[in-house]
Amino acid sequence: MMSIHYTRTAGRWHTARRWRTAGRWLAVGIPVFLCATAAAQIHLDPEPHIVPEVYLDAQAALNAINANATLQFFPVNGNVYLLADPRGGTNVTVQIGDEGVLAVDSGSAEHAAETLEMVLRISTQPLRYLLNTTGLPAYTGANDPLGEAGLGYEGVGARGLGRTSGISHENAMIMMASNAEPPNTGAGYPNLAFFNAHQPIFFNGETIDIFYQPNANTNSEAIVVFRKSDVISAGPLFLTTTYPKIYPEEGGTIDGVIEALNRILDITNTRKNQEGGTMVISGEGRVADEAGVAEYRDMLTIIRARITYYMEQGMSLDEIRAARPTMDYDGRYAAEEGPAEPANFIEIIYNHLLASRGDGS
Amino acid sequence: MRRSSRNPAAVLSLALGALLADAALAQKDISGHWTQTNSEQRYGDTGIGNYSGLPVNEAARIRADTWSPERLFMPIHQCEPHPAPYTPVGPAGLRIQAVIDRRTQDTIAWRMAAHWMENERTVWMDGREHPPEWAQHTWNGFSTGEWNGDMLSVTTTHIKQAWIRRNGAPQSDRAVLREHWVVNDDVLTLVSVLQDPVYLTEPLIRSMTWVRNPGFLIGSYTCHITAEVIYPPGYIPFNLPGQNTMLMDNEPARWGMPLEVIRGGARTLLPEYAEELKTYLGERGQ
Repeated sequence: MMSIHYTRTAGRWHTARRWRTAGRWLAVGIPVFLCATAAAQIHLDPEPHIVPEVYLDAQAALNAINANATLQFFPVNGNVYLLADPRGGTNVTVQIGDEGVLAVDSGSAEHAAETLEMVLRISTQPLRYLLNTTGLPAYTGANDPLGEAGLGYEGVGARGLGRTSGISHENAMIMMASNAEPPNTGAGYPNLAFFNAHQPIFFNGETIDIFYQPNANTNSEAIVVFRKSDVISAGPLFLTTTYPKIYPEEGGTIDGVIEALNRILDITNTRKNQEGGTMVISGEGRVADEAGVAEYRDMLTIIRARITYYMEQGMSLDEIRAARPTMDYDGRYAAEEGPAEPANFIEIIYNHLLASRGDGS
Repeated sequence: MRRSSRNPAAVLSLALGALLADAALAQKDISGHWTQTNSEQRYGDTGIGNYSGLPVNEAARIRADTWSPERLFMPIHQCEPHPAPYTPVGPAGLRIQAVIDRRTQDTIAWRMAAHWMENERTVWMDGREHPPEWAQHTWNGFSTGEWNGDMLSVTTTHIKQAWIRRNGAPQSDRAVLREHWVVNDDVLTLVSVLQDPVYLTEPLIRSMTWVRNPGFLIGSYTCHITAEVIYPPGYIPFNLPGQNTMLMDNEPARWGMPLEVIRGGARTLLPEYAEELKTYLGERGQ
């Protein structure tokens, strides 16, 4: 009996314990089940996204660098930054890293001191390389003060030259020497000019390709490709502000500009929805991705084709200007004066096409 | 001792609480899944050269008249989604989600995903500034929102160069989009106002409607870039001026409208133009 009683008592005790255990499981299980059900029906009641704890740190650091300055740094991709001028003007591309600072173009002489100050702000490392995408003064005006910034740094330039190494195509070097008065042969003069189609360097952990683009805005342009950062610095070949500024007297042609844009599009790639991916820093204006370059390339190809078509119809330059082959783009890209002013732009293309078919000089 | 029921601080707290609760209620929850209805903007695609209902200028007409649909076959354009101003026109079933800052429980943004090309955008509600003018433009641009009572008003800048109709009618990258979203029970309404100093002479105003559909799911992303035709390097599809053989292909007859209406422009959108149109249609016995 005792054992039975004991057994019954023990059984009751076990039964009660089972109920308590079951109760505990239910107490935990029901909410879990409800949560799981809710998760399974997440499309019925979308779960709010949660903001990541870490964000905008990089921008916050840049804000401190940009404080109280007119020129402004803007993060592009990887180690590459845009130094933009809100007043307009040309862009400077800056790459930073453990090995030092590399700049692509220097901007105008007018704002040289500001450019130098900002380049010194973004890194404590010396300015090791100054690359130029063109010999045009608007892009090389601050070469000297930036070149001098590297003076005194032992081993700068990797060739013991004791200065910031300047790299450009030799035609850009010649332009800088011949167009400046007095001739520009100072610290910003490209001491490592190249004459071939492709000049690679390796700096701050990535290959940087420099591709010469003949007969574009002048005969001195190059694009600079940061392979790891996935950025292209296009210089005057790609503007988001106006039509390209082509200087025929310096060897510039519309064909060369379009060829250069096609080269850029051969290199670019995009992420989802053909957006993002390779970023292209324009010579003037904003950062763009492949779609921005494609629109610009398409526009120039279409305008060139229209002028070609009108010429084939026997129309004179004045008649072609009157037909306004740029009208649908003027509201966006017309400059008020200079080579990107529509009448001048049409004339530059017309004269090039005329010369190309042997009817002109 | 009986506590006073006329404690000024308590009364003030209650009143303030009621006010804050009222203000909070004014900010409606727009999250959920929404199915597009056949509203006024869902009339199907028009033909090439038909810009009816669009306040376009002559530059826009020329650009669109020389556009070629072959462009959509180019690998560089195949996976482009619609830009923010055109996305609601469709196909645009929507999934809208709140983005919550877990520290404050504030809704700091709305995430809106549209059906076509799994196109996602963010509307920031935390008061942040728009990016500088040298920032990249995107298909959806950069959007910030604020509540005006029960209406969510959104301003979008930094939109890529794109289209306002799928026949080449252009939208420039200088366009600014202002949207007003309103939820009434299970109906979501959008009134959008697009200003484009390059291609529009007046704002383009559109309205769209969705109904709540808990069963709606956005399809998975399937676009892969493929070379469908071998093109020569640098090939750009377009038509030369006056050479577009697809232009105005039967559009006036198809819609029973005069050519002037088909070609669009602000004048044809004004109420007084409706009287002219009635006369025209009357003369034709329509």
